[in-house]
Amino acid sequence: MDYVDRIERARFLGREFLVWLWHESEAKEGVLTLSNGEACEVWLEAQLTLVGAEDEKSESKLKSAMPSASPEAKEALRQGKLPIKAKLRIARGTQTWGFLLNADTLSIASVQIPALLREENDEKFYERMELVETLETILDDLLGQFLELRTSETWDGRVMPQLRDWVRAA
Amino acid sequence: MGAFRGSISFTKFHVRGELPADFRDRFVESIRLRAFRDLDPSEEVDSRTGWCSVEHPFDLDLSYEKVFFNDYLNLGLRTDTWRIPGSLFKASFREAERAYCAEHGCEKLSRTQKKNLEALVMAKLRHKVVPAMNVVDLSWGLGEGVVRFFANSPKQHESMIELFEKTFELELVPDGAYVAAEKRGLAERLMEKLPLLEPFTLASTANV
Repeated sequence: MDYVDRIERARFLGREFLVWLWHESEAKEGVLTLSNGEACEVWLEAQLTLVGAEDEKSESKLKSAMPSASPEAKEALRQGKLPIKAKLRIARGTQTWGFLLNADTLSIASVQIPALLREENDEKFYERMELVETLETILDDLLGQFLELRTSETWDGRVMPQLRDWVRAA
Repeated sequence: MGAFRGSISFTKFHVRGELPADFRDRFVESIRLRAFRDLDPSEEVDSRTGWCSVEHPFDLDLSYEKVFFNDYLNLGLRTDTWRIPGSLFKASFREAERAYCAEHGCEKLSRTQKKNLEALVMAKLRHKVVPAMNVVDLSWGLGEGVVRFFANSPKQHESMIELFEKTFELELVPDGAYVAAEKRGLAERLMEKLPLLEPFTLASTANV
């Protein structure tokens, strides 16, 4: 399998990452711990789109203040749908980012970054990039935690049963 | 929307391969070779893509200081396309067809005559309209080997990757869980497991 095939083959993990993040956020009341021990807050908000694994056209597009908390969202999971797009809010310390995450490509859109302080054009660019890179570092950390779990024995033994109970209980 | 201003939406790509020792000078040279060139109405091309300054799409004189921002290489990917409104084309063609038939004493055009006349009408109209311009920012963090391209459409990705790889002679791969795992240094035995994983389902009929 060549490199690009391996990337494509693993693309479905983006959707699973969003499910895991959603579950973690609910189970831990929004407070997740990064690998360095620092806390960050993660919420799904405003917009959530789920599609069926077999039938991509079977789509649930949910829009409300907290669509992930709605009965429709869990029902979609029970129907075998997984999230392909979600609006997330991440806060670390005094900084907060809002953005739309596309699970298949891990691309991010409509990013709201913390307020900019610098005014010069070049300086503004460096500050914007710094804030984007900080957001990416947090997301990469969370994705890394998910991937370590997903490839470990713990996944089938502990995480999957937790996820099934969570979906069933809703 | 872009690197410098507006809403931020981008797709991340990873650069594979080593930067050459004298890459800054070499890159400026290759960027200049593939800088955007204006469309000429008499040419038979519908669109053209090339690099422009990230801050000013009309600035095509790409010098070192317009491209390098400390550890970032910033460019605009400019694509100009001829967009002749369908109704304008149809009306102009009907007019040209009438004039042609009157001049040559024919009632209907053959397929070849029609094709030639269409090309002629299109060329004439191109002199009257301005091409549609689309510019997307690209920011390459040289140290981290990451390219952020400020558009999320697969078609734009394709044309950017093609031009990027021709310009810099380095491969670009799209971001994804596999690359993230690799960059994070996931243990080798876990990396081997990644391509073998099967998607899970939470469907209520699934085995518990």
